[in-house]
Amino acid sequence: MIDIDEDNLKSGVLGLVMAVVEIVRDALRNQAARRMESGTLTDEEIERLGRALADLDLAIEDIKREQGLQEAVQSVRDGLDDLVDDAVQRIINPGAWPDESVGLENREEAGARS
Amino acid sequence: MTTTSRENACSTGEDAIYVYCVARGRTHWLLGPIGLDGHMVYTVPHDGLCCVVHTCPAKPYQSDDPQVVESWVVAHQRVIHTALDAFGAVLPMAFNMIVRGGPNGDAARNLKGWLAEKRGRFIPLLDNLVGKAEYGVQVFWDRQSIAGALVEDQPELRRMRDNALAKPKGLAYMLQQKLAKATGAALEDLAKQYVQGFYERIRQSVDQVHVDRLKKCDRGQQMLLNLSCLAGTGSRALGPVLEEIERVEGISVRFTGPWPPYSFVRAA
Repeated sequence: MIDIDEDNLKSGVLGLVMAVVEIVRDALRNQAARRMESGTLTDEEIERLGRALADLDLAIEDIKREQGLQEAVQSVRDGLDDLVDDAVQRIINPGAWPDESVGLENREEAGARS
Repeated sequence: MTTTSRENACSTGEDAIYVYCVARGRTHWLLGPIGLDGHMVYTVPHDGLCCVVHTCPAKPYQSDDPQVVESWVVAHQRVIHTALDAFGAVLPMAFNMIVRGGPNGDAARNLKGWLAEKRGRFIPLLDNLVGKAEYGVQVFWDRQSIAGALVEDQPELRRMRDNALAKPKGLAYMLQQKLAKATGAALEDLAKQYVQGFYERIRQSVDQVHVDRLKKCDRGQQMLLNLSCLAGTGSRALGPVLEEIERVEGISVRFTGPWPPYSFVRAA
């Protein structure tokens, strides 16, 4: 039987949702910056875009604070960062792979005993 | 530590041997009841090498009680430190390295067979470690305060900040994002310079360096370097280098050790 703590579940799911919202916000922000730098937006459009993104930032922070999700969101984002970091490490540093399987001399012995 | 003439201290009816470390030595020694759960720790010598061990049942040490596990790990470390003091150099084993007996003989015989098989590798490793110990060096920086100082110092960043402050809300937001990106790039360049410079200086003051993965820190602090250094226990070269690094604005250094040389005895 699986024992589920409802509060934990809520915080986990909401944390995941807010982390996704933040990532989408980051993508929008980057896209907006690129358009601004390319000179295709008028001053008025930049102002409108900037206000919308600033309001989105405030809304995200309010929801996180009200629901006590700061740590849950950070933990999802850290987890994703670690995942990407691992993938990049494997690509740029393939020499480190054997470390994971070999480790200390004694591991093979420890494995052999069981 | 006392000597014993017992040929085989493992004759207690239990059929496995828990191994703490390997050292150079030809004698049977009793190190005392300092092992896991107060077990008597002794050496099993073979052809110039010896294992520091205690006798145990042929199953791994496992417990759901974190305090029990902690006491075992502390005892494991304590035995390795004691052996390090006694022998001058040890190859530490990870927790739960157990050699069992089998159809071909008792556990001590299997252990001696293992020592004989690895002798060619272990002797040079141990000789390289005599009079040396591992030290942990971690270098951190306070990203926020360094970013603030960078904006003040670099005219281009300062101009971007002042420009953003004078604009209406939406435009100011967009310009602040641009400033954050430019500051991030400047911070990355500075971090690269620091890491390369610090690493070179540290590497030159010790015998060997092992680069470990960076770890996450409390907010504000960021780890730049995580090194395990092998250095002579009497060496005074590393201290002044670390003091000099710590004098750099926004940089802090954590130094730990001496430790048994875990990072320098890998099989690979």
